[in-house]
Amino acid sequence: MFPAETGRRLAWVRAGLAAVIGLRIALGPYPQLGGQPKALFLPVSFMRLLPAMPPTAVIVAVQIIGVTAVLAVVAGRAPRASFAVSWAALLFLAGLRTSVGKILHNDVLLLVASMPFLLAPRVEERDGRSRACGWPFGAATAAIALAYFFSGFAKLRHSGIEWVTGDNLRYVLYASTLGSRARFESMALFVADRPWLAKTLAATLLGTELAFPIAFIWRRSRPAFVVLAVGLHLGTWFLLGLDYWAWIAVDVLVLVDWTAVQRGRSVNRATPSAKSAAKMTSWPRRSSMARPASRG
Amino acid sequence: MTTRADRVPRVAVVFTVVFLVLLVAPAVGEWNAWPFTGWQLFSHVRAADQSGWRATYVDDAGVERTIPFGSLPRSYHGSLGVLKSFSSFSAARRTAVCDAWASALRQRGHAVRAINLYRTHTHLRLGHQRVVRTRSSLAYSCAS
Repeated sequence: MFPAETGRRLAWVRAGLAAVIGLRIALGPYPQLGGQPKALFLPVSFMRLLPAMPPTAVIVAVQIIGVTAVLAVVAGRAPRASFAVSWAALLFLAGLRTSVGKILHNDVLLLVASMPFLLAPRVEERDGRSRACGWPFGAATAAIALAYFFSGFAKLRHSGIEWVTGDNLRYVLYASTLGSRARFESMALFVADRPWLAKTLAATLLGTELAFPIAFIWRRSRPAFVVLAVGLHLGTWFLLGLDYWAWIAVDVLVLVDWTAVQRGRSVNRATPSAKSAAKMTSWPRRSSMARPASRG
Repeated sequence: MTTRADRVPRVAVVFTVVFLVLLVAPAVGEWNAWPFTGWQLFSHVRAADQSGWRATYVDDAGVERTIPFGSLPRSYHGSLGVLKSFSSFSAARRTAVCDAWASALRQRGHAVRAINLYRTHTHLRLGHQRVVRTRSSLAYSCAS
C-alpha cells in the first residue's frame, strides 16, 4: 500500500499530472457554460452550493488561475501549493461541466488519482527512496484499480453476463452511428455487424476492468494493464466518440515508472565502467537516502 | 530497519483510509458524490427497444422541428438530463426551461411558437439492413 519511491519520481509525476490538469483546463469548453439560464442548471454533489452557473468572466478567471498554477508546478515554483490550486480549479470547472445535465467521468480519474499527490511531501531528496515519497503512488494506484474494477462491477450488477453474451455492445455501436458520435462510423459498423467480434471486444473490456486490481497487487503487471487501458480508451474514442484521453494520461503517468525507464536507458548508453559503477550504486538507493540532497 | 525517513506520515495513513472509503462506498452504495461516483459507465444493457426523450419547437408556420441542441451553446447540451428531470420540476421551472430554449432558438433566427416534449420509444433492428422505428407520445407542451 505504501511503496518506497524516489523524490525524483514524485516530482516528475506531480508535474505530469499538473500538465494534464492544465491541458484539461485550457482546452475544455468551459467558457461556453457561462450565461446558462438558471432553470437549466442541474448541479451535482458540492456544486449544489452554487445558485446558478457562474458568469463567463468567473469561469475564465478560474481557467487563468488554474493554468498559471500548472505552469508554476512544472517550473518547480511552490509545487505543492500550485498543484493544489490547479487541482481545485479543475475540480470546479469539471464540476460545472457535469452540472449541465449528465454525470461526466472524463475528468474523474484525473481528479481522484491526483488527490493523494495533494498531500505529498516536499521533495528534498531526489534519488533516495522513501515511503514518505511513495505513499501517494500506492493510494493513486489503488484509486485507478478501484475505478476500473467498479466500472466493470457496475456492468455486472446492472446487466449481468448478458453485457458480454448478448447484443448489448452491438446496439451501443449502432446507436453511436445513428447519433453521429462515432469518429469512424465504418469501424463501428464493422464491429457491430459481426456478433463474434462485438462479443470478443465486450469480454476483453469487461475482463480488463474486473482484473485491474491485479495491477495494484502485482507491480510487474502494470505495463500490461496500461497497454490494455490505452486500447480500451482508444477503442471507445474511435467507436463511440467518447474522449477519455485524461484516463490514458493518468494510467501512463502513475502506473509506469518513467524515471526507472530513463535510468535504464542512461545506464545502457553509458560506458562499461559506468554500467558497473551504476550497478554498484543501485542497491543502496532502495534502502537508504545516502545520496546528496538536491532541490525538488 | 525502518528509518525515520521511511515512515509513512500519520496524516498519509488517515488520508488513505478515508480516501479508499470514499472510493468504495459510493461505488457499492451507488451514490453520486461526484467526483466519487458509482462508476456507471455504459453499465445498463442496451436492447432493441430503447426509451428516450425528444424536444421540438413549433415555428410560425406551424411546422414542428427537433430542437438542434448541438448547435446551441454548450450550456444547453445537457438537454437529456433536463428532460429526464422535467416531471420533477415545478410549473414555474418548466416554463423557465421552455423559455430558455425558445430564447436560445430565437437568438439563432428560429421563430418559436411552442415547445413540445415527447417520450420516445425506438426499436432498432440489428444487421446490415438497420431499421429504426420511433414512436413518440407528447408528454408536455409549453406555449412560448
